[in-house]
Amino acid sequence: MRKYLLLFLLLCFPFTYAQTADPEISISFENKELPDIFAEIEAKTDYQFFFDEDWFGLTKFSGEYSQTKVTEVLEDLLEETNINYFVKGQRIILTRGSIIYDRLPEGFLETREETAVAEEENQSADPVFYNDNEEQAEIVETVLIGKENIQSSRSTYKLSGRVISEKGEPISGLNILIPNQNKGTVTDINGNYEIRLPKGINIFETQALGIDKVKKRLVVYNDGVLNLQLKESFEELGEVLVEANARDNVRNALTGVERIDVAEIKNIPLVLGERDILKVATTLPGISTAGEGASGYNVRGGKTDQNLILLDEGVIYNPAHFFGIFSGLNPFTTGDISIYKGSIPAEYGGRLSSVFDLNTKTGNKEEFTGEVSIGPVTGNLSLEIPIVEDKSSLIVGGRGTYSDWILNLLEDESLEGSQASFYDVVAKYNHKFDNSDELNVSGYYSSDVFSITSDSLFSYTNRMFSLSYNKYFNEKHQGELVLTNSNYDFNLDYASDFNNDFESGYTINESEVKLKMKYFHNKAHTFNYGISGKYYMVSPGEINPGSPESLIEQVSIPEERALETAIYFEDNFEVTEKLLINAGLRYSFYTAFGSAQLNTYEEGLPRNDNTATGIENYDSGEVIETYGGPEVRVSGRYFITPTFSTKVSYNNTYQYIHTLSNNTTAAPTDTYKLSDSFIKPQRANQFGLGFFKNFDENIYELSLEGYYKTSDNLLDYKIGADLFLNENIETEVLQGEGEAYGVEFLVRKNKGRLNGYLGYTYSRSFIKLAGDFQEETVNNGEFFPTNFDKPHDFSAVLNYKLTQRFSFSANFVYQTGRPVTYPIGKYNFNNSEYVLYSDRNQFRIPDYYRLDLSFNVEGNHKIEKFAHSFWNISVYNVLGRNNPYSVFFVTDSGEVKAYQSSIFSIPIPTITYNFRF
Amino acid sequence: MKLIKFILKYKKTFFLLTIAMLIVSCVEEIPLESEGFEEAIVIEGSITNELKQHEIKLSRVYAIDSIGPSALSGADIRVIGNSEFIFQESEPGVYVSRDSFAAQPGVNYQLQISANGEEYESTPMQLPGSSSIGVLQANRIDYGGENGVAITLNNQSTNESANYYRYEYVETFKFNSNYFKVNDLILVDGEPVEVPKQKEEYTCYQTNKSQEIILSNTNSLSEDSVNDLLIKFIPSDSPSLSNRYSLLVKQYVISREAYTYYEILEELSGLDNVFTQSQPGFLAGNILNISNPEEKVIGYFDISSVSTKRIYFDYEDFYDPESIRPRFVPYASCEASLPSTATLIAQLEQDIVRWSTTTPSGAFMVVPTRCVDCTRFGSNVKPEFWED
Repeated sequence: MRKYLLLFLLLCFPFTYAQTADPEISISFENKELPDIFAEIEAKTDYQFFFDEDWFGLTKFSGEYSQTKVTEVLEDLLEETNINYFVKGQRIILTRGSIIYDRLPEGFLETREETAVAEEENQSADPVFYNDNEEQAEIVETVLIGKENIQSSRSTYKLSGRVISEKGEPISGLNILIPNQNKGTVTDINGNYEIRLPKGINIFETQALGIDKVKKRLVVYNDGVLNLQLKESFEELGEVLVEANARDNVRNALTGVERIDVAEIKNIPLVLGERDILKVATTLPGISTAGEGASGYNVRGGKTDQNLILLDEGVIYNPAHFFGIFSGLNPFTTGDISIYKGSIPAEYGGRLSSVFDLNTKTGNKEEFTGEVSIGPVTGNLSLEIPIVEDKSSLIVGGRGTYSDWILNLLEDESLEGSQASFYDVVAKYNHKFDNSDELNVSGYYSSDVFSITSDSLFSYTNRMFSLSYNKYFNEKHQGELVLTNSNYDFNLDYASDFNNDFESGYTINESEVKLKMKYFHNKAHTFNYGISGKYYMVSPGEINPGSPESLIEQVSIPEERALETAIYFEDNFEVTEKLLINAGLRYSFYTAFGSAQLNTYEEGLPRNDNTATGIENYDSGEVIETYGGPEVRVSGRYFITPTFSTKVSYNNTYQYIHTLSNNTTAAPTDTYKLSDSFIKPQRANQFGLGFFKNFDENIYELSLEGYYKTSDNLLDYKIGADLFLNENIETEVLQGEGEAYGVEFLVRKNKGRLNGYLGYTYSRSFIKLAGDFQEETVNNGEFFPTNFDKPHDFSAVLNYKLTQRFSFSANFVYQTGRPVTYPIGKYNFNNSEYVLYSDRNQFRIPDYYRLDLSFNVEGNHKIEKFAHSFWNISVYNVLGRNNPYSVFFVTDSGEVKAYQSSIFSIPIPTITYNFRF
Repeated sequence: MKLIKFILKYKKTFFLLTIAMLIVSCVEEIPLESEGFEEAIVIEGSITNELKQHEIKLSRVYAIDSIGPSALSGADIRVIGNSEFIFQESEPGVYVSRDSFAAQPGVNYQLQISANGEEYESTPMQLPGSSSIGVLQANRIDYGGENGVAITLNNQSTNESANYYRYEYVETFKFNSNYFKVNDLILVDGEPVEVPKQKEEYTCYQTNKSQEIILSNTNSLSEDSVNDLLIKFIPSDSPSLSNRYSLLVKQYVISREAYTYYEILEELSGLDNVFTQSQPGFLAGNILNISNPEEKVIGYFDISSVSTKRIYFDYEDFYDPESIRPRFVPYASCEASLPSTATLIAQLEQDIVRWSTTTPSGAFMVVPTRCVDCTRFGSNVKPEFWED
């Protein structure tokens, strides 16, 4: 109470209301902003105005007054604003929201209990005071709603507003929560919302699945409006979103979460001008690839098959084009991406290392808009089409290469008939039934076709379909039902001159049903719970004769089927203001089904064709093997100071699906294998600890995170393993232990002319393959570095704005070279030289570094202009560093030769042009 | 990825087309550098069903930037089968069985070696079924964007246990020098003198052993026989086609394990594409150090049944006899010149020119030796087996 009093006294000088004689003035103004009008009044009278210019928007006023009292003019002018005024002598003091009281409110000096009663009755128009100290406890932007009115004695006021996206499209279905009241609402199709709030301080949060939280402290004085613009706009950076993210960093209970605002990445220089969401992700600590041309991502020392990559909830198995040079996800239709590399929410499962959660934007429901991008390799088009105004919309994005066309232009005989092309399309339909129900339907398809040699053709496709139905039951309870289907296949066709033409292929298909529920129990507890079931169907490979003359025998490896089910419950528990705990438990259960024929092997001997003792038959639907177990997902945040938090987490995860690859880096020809009686599920435990600090009103964000991870049953393979079209994969597979640890440091500057981030990671990743037999042991059964173990990894992404229209960006990467197995000797065998290799991964290729620069030009900002254009001129690998990607040894004409391959060894300049309409 | 390997297998050059070309990816040869060295023993040995003195070679691994091989001498080698066969060192690292013998079906053969105080032993191996080469055929085709002559093999339907094959070949071809000259220039007391040619320098023979690993299996084929297996492809511009060509193909029917060993050896030493690389590592064979099973022993001891066949063909069989035949030296590099006497003497001393013509004025015109002397590229001795 004393604090209140102090505050009150500070505010309340011995004021009196309109004490002095009110002079009359004559004034006229047209389309002027308030500060200018006040200046005019100051010029005509002795009054002096005191205010903060930031309170006023760009609203312009016109008016003509003759011989009118100044106070009347002010009443008129301020009527539509939340500004109050107070006249003190020659001074006119403007205040926002609060009236400067000239007397104590009723009950002010009464005891606390009585005040509480008074509040409950809500009869009196108690003035609103807020506690400055409390304000500091958690730095949240405070917004004043409405102008305080002395006469008002209502207990609740109406807060309304509209939430729009960067392009001015309404964001519908956004949950707006008032945790302190256990209240909430949802924006309607037009992005409008309305909620009744009690007078005083209310916490306002927005939340939607896959959309970042925005949190504000509202001080409600009266009915008022709070409009929000989320995401980036061309006129100004979407600061609301950026700031919200910034605070999330410190606030959230989860460790190891990275969020990328897709709209922000356009300035970052990238290979051949292809805007690439996942490539940007690799500049963040803890996420890397084995090299420039490698597909797949290694997250915190995990293998490339340990990432769950979701687009609108559906799995994308191979989100890469042309091996791994480009990512297959459309940057123009993707709204945002969250990457969970530390704490993985209980909702997700099935992969050990991370979840990449990507969401497609919702199309504009009011007007037809589009975006076109033209680069040297691909052309992009995305369209947002309103179907039923304010109810439903469609967003469609497509991208394709011109390389086939270029190949046709090259008059080289050896290139005749060769192909190289890729494309991807994505579409999302959104339908809003009323304020509580919403339907989203998404589809994705990508295709790559290229010739490896002139007589072979390799192609692969990803296909994904997802349907989600959101239901808002009441202010406390909401749910989402998701159906997805994903498919990945590749084909390898060969046409030769010698009757051995063939066509071969692989397919994996999964279908999932998932029910996700959210329950806002009270201010302290929010529950997430749900259940999911996923059905896998894998055609591990087949080969067919490519022509009637071909003597290749048709072979088809029997299909594998399995069901992965899970149930989860998670409580986001705010124990105290400082301590937030997110505790989740997931139980996953896996069943591999027949029909199948599995070999049996002699006990105590290595599994190979010679130790096979027989065949066990499983009928269709018969259970072959089951696995399962609890997965604990716990993390907690504690505020050391309001802008400095520490977090700890523990996770364990199961993975029932594995890639088969005997390459050192991931390739599109890697196949996925389901766990069976021989191949056990991979398991991992991860401990995380992090410190998060924001400076200067969240302009700077600093984080330091450490992790320690152990894994079991990681898959590896015997040297030279033949994995495709092999009926007895178990004879080629090794399973071993993994160990990984690291420290990740990230500093971001979110605002200002110079913005960007620096990240540094020190991490190690090891694997141990110590089977019971010599042939199942690698490096004498000791831990050795994995193929993607790169201890030092430094990235800097910086952007400097010269003016609103011109900016420079730079991107620098340094990484320790990845481990390789190098020859340590040569020998002669059958008239030829061959090499003897070292223990696995004993050596490293030279360190990798690269600098990219780009210059960006925004078109001008005239609203009337038909299209808004954006130019990006960039040079990739400015230093021309010939970064080796791999080193390999070939016996050619009886002699050993060493070769080094590199992907982008010289500076590559590109220009891309982009416009939206 | 075996299928990709399979596709890449016979390519002289491989190219990953396409965007990668636009993208400037590159594969360049780099010097071999020694990054540490490890000793290991290399055992090359194969016993066949031919009645002969079989040979086993022992060598050591040598540093990657040095020139080998380094033979391993002084070892004790025997093969235990239905009786014990002792091997004796005939030249450094080459051990030959004291007696002639042929591997018999149904008998286990085991290689035992004691060298450097260590005992090595192979797993017992048996002779697989036999199969003989049916037909060798030569055809002119386009292959991988190149025109040339392909020699393919078909074998007769086999008995059931012969499914895995390895092939070696020896090619021998007859060829001519660019020009046929009857005289030579020799230096007599420092002066060039024209004399009749002393040795055969126009027609020669060159013999080469196969260096690649050629494998075939009939498991993935609908018929249990090898059909149209490409043994050798010779591009049309190769001088080996210019006269008469012969290929001796030796077929080994091998065990599945031996086949796998050679297949992986080939994969590990073959081309990778730019983006993916097979995981390299130590490839274990079937020979172990008894007292130290961890020791890396290189090589495979195999018992195989052998069959051979030879094919001949002439240039005229596939090409216009009137066309200009490919030579080791392009004709453009074979123009005759008229050097000054001093230059001529110097060139003759270095043996880089030969007589071409004598001008009416008595001056000597010469051509580079390579254009006249085929022994620079082969032997002028006709091989014993050669049939014209």
